[in-house]
Amino acid sequence: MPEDGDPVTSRRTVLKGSGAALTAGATGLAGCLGFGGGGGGGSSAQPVNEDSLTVWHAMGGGLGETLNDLGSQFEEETGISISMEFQDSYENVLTNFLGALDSGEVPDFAQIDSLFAKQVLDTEAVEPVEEIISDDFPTDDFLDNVTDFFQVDGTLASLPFNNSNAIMYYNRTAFEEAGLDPDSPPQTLQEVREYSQALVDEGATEYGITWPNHVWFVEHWYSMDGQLLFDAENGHGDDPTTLRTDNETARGLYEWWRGMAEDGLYSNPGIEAWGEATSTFLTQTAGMLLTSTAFVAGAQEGAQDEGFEIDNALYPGVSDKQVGPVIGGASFFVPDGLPDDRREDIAAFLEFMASPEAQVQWHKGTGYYPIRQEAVSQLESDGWFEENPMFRTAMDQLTESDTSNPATRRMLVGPARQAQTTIQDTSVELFNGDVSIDEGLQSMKSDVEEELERY
Amino acid sequence: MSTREVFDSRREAAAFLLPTILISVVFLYYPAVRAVGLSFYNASFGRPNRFVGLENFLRLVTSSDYHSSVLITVLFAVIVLVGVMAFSLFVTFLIHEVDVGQSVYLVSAIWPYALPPAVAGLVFLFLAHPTLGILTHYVELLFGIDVNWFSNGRQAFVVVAVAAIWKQVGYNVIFMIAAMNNIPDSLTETARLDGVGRVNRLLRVYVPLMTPTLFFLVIMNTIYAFFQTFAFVDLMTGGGPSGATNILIYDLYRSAFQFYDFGLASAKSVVLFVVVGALMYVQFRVSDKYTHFGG
Repeated sequence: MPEDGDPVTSRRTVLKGSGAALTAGATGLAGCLGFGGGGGGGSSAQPVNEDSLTVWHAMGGGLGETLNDLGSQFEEETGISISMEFQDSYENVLTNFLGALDSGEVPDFAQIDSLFAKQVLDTEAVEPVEEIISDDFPTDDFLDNVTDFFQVDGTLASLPFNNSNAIMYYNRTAFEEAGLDPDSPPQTLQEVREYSQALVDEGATEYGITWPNHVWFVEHWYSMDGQLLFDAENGHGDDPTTLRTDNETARGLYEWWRGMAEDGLYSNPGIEAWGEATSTFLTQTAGMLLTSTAFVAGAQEGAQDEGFEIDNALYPGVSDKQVGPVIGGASFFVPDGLPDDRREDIAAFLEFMASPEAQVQWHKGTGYYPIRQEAVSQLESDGWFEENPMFRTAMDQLTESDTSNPATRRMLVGPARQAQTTIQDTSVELFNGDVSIDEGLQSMKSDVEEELERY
Repeated sequence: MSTREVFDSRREAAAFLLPTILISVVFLYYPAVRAVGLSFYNASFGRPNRFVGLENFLRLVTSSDYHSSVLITVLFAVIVLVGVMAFSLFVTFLIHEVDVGQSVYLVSAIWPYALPPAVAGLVFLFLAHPTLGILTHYVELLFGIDVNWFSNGRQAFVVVAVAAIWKQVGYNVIFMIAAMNNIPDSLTETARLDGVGRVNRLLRVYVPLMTPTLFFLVIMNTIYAFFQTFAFVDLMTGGGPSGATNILIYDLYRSAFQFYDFGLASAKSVVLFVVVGALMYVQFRVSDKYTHFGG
């Protein structure tokens, strides 16, 4: 029956066609990335918006509002137009900025997470901000441990802006319920374990502690213990070649972590799951939380809503050493090769953002550190820290840090995202008991070494 | 062959085809060719591309992580394909047989399909979340297990597979119910008179007549399992824990958009293309044997 036969073949052809097209689509996915290569900007950089300065940032929610307020104030004071463009996440800002540097059409500022600083520096398409801001700007007024990270060869490469480190928050109400003294929170991982056990045994909370599985916390345990995570001074001296896992810090950390997971004292919110970790703590499922100092404002509000008393304490160390935290957060990078008149406007914005007034406002609105000594003094004389003891603890952790110890300078490595992923993924295998501690640490080390070599 | 020649003028036909061809070339074939080319380079941001020959492919061949990713993907695709087809067929049959409230059942079966993949991923994440999930408690009671799929790879794999199946059932039900309703009532009557039981009626009478539709669904579900389940992995597990849900399409995305290793990502996309292409070919060969196209 030829009449029926033809539609049949065509139906089959259509099927074949659609199958082939869809598989080809997958290949196309990677083909879209054809912008690799070239090498960036040089003198040919073009602003994405001629009429206005453009900032690509990753500050959502309340943080974004505070940032927008600062932008409006800058416009009022200087008459220079500026547009703040939210890019959803640090990863997106990085991807978009690297793409922009490659194409030559660039924003004037990109807020880059300190973890990815090296990748941006390696493009050699950014201009050190110290060369842009005027010579009489007091660059020596920046806090040491902030500039320590952001200086490259003694020059300030990018403007540190929102900086924080990790700290421990705890539920005072639950502590009391479990018969623990809320005025003496745990200081070491061993004590965290004892406190967690008490919280769970007394039924005050379901778990003892939680934190997002992010490399930043591992970095903190290393720096608190005065231990370098990478050779070559965490990448600040030279290009690093290895991950340092053959030490008591690493073994102590992962043995503790595994024990906590096995005994149901640690709640794993997932990889890079900041929001879930916070919810677990605020819903009183876990009694303690490790997260950013920039959460102080949010923590106070959240605890009030949930009806419990909250406090914070120094980051608990692997041993009883308290060397100091690593700096996290982000800084503003400026592309190289923008015209001189534009660079003047850019300088004006950088100086505005680094001014003590802007810093005080930013700190109060968010909990990120003020990066200028003068801003800290001003906050102190206003009595801000006395009224807000949780901000005090966060500030103490930073100022009491031994900045002469190279371990407090955060890792500065090219394949940072790869190293981060490897450490986080292997952490899961380690605390989950899939591999022995030695095996896990060894594979973590060799995987990272491979990435470092390839970069 | 008369049905083929709708246009007398070849030029006219070419003009009508032009937009499709143009869009396909610009957005599909050109990038695909570029990807193949790029797979021979070490390419990243801000640094010149370097020709490395087959090094990227060599890395894939020797990488144990990649091997396990291939294995996981195949296993995942098989489970999702079989799971979706079997469950959808069962649901469709129930809807077909029920007398009262057929449309209510139909709508509720199709519902998950109406959600965008990203929303479905988030919904399922919070339904099955180990500490905050609504379903978690009951699953723990029912099966006597400790729901811990953020740490436990096997559980994570199951959760993502279940989510992927749940999302795709609606799509299958739409096609299956249409095919089942096309089966003449006289056949159903005859089967009943001959005393054929329900299960046999489904498997021996309906399924053979539905083969063209089922074959179409096998193709679509395979493509779905390989590519469109990306959103679930991205939102729910990020490929983890420790690579347990790192299916090829997610692995490719991570190489490209998180590690900026464009050369390697291109090599991975070429491999994926070849794997799925080969699979399609096999499916067509096999189905030619068993598919009943009528006539």
